[in-house]
Amino acid sequence: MTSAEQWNWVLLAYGFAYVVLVLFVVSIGVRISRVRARLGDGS
Amino acid sequence: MTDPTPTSTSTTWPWIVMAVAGLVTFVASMTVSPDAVQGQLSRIMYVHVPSAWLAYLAFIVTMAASAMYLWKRDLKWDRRAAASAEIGVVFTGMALGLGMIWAKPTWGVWWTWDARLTLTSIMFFIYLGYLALRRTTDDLDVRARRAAILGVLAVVQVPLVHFSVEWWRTLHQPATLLRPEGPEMATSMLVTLLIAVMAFTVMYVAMMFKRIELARLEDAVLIAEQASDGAVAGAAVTTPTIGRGTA
Repeated sequence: MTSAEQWNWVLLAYGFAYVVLVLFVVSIGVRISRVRARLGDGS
Repeated sequence: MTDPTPTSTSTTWPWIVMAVAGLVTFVASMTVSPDAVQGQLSRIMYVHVPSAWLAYLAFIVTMAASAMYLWKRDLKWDRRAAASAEIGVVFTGMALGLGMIWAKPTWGVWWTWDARLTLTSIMFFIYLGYLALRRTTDDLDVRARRAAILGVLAVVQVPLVHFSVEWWRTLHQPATLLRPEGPEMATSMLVTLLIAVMAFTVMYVAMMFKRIELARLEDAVLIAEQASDGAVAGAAVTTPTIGRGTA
C-alpha cells in the first residue's frame, strides 16, 4: 500500500472521529438551548 | 432527592476547551513521524486509543456516580452518572468505528469476531441499554435507582474488554499504554499518544460540564411539567356538583 493510500485511510479515520465529536457537542448545545427555551416559556 | 437548580447563565469555557483539545490532538498526531512498520496508518492510533481510554474512564465514572447515588440518594449523582454514560457511549462508538477503519487496511477486513472487538461491541450495547432504561419512566427517583443498579453492574465490562487481549487468543494487539511492563514504543510516538490521551481527557471533563448542565435543565423541565400536570389533574378530579331543585 502506497503512502498516499495510507493517508486516505488516515483522513477517513480523522474525518469520522471529528464529525462524530462535532455532532455530539452540537447536539448538547442544541438540547441545552431547547430546554432553556422551554423553561423560559414556563412550560 | 435534591431538586435541580438550573443556572441562569451558561458557561462558555467548556466549548473553547473542547475545540482546543481537538485541535491539539489533530496537530500533534499529524506532525509526529510515522511508524516504521505501519507507516501513516499508525496515526489512527492517536484517536483510537484515547477514544477507548475515555470509554473506560466514562463508564468507571458512571459506576462511581451510580454507587454514590445509591448511598446518598441525591439526584446530582444520577445526573453525573447519566452524563458520563452518554459520553462513554459516544467514545465507545468512536473506538469501534476507528478500529474498523484501521482494521480494513491492516487486517484486510472491517470486522472479525475477535474477543476484544466482540466484548467492546457488547459494552456499547449494554450502555445503550442503560440510556434506554433511563427513558422508561418519568419518575426521577425510580429512574435514578434503576439506572444506578445497572450502572454499578455494567462496569464489569471494562476489565473484560481491557484484559480480553490477555485472556483470549485475539487478533487485536495487546494493550498499548496500560500494560504491566510499561509502554513499548518510540519516545516521539509515546509522547504524542500521551498528549492525545490528555487532550481527550480534558475534552471529557469539558463535555461533562455541559452534559450535566443539560441533565439539570431536563430534570427541571420534568419537575415543572409534573407539577403542571398535577395541578390540571387536581382540577379535573373535583367532585362534580349536581344542581337540585332547579328543574
